Amino acid sequence: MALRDDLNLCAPRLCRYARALVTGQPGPSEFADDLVHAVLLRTWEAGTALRLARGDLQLHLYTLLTEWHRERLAAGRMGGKAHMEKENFSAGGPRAAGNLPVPASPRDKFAAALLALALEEREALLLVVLEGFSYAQAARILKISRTVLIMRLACARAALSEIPAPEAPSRPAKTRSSYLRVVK
Amino acid sequence: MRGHGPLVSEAELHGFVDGDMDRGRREAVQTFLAASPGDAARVERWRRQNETIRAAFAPVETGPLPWSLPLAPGAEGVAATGHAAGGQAEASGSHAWRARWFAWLIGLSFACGALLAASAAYLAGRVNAPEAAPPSSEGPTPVGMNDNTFDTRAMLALRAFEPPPAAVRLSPNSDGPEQDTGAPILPNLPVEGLKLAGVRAMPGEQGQMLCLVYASPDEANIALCVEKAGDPGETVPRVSDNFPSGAIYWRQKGAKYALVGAIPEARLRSLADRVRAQVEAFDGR
Repeated sequence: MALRDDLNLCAPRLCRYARALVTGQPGPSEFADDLVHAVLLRTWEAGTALRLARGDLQLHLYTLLTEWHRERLAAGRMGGKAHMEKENFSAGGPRAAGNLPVPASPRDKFAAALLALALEEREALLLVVLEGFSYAQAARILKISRTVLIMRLACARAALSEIPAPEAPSRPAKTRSSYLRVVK
Repeated sequence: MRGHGPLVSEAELHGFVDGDMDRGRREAVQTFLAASPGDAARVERWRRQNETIRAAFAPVETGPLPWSLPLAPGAEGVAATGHAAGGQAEASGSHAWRARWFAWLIGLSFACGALLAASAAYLAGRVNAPEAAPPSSEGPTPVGMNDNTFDTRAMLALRAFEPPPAAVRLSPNSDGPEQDTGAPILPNLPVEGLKLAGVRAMPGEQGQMLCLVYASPDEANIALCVEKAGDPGETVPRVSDNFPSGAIYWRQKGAKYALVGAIPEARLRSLADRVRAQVEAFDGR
């Protein structure tokens, strides 16, 4: 299979990881999606020189995306949509959650809970839980030891505690009384 | 971690939830959790976390991507450049990629447009080349016709109006190798007030069609067009019924004539009669 096909196969998962990492939400994010696109193009350009197997290609993509995301954060070039994450990153983890605006909907609460994690904890959690990488693979992507990875996982899970589901339970919407009234 | 069963570490509990564990140890962890409700509840909470996270982002994998796939073959080499100076430059790399991509598209569009224009000019040259020649039957004019050829053809056109050596006028049997007696005659409209505004040559069924365009201060423009007819027969004038842009046409002396203009039919017929009479009386003098 050609490199382009492999990249196209990886694109949706990579997009999922980027959105979760950047915004904590599954919805489109210009920042996250641009990041993915740039990673794909960069890999496509260097593909002939890299000559990676598909498994290694995935690790390479996630490594690149994670690094570029960190660099962007460090460079302070976050856009408005990633404002919450920047705030969290600079403050450092769940202890900064109190600085975040109070989320309203379950979706916002879910995103806020993810973004309230420290960046390195979020990376570890998302790589293992969301992307299904083994501990060895995730540790390789993050360039840390397996022990450090598990420590970060443990911290993330402890901080999340009971993470709220993003979607509210489906109840029939209560009909609101009309504001229009007959005035005699 | 110490429980009621075998010893299980915290890392093994995480590995148990994440499926990153040897099969042999998995049974040991299950035994441990069965005997340790507190740890079992914790592990269950982690499992719910995992399910919540996966469910939340499941639509992304199956949903539409913000860019088109597959990756365009010409897309390489763009994003990487933006990242060359480290990740900082990459912050705007994607936007730079878009800008360059659009610039490339615009450049390609201009190139295609230029190519099309050149092709159209070439084809127009091929089509219009015979129109530059006088209405003779000498065949198509070469595209690379030089000035000498053009001069010769111009002189031939003039000699067609010179009196023939014999009494036969405009006859197909007239000799004179350089005289094109089959060339259609374009008479001048003998009407007061009409002024020749220009001549237009257009592709016709039998070579080219020439039109004399007359302008009038009181009326709309009138065009008298002629082209060589396929057969020598003559016809009476016929009027097309799409007035006010009316047309009247007929065949006369081996040529097809048409008089068109947004003028009343009676006026058009009157002009046509005068043209017909002039063509009929034409003797080249």
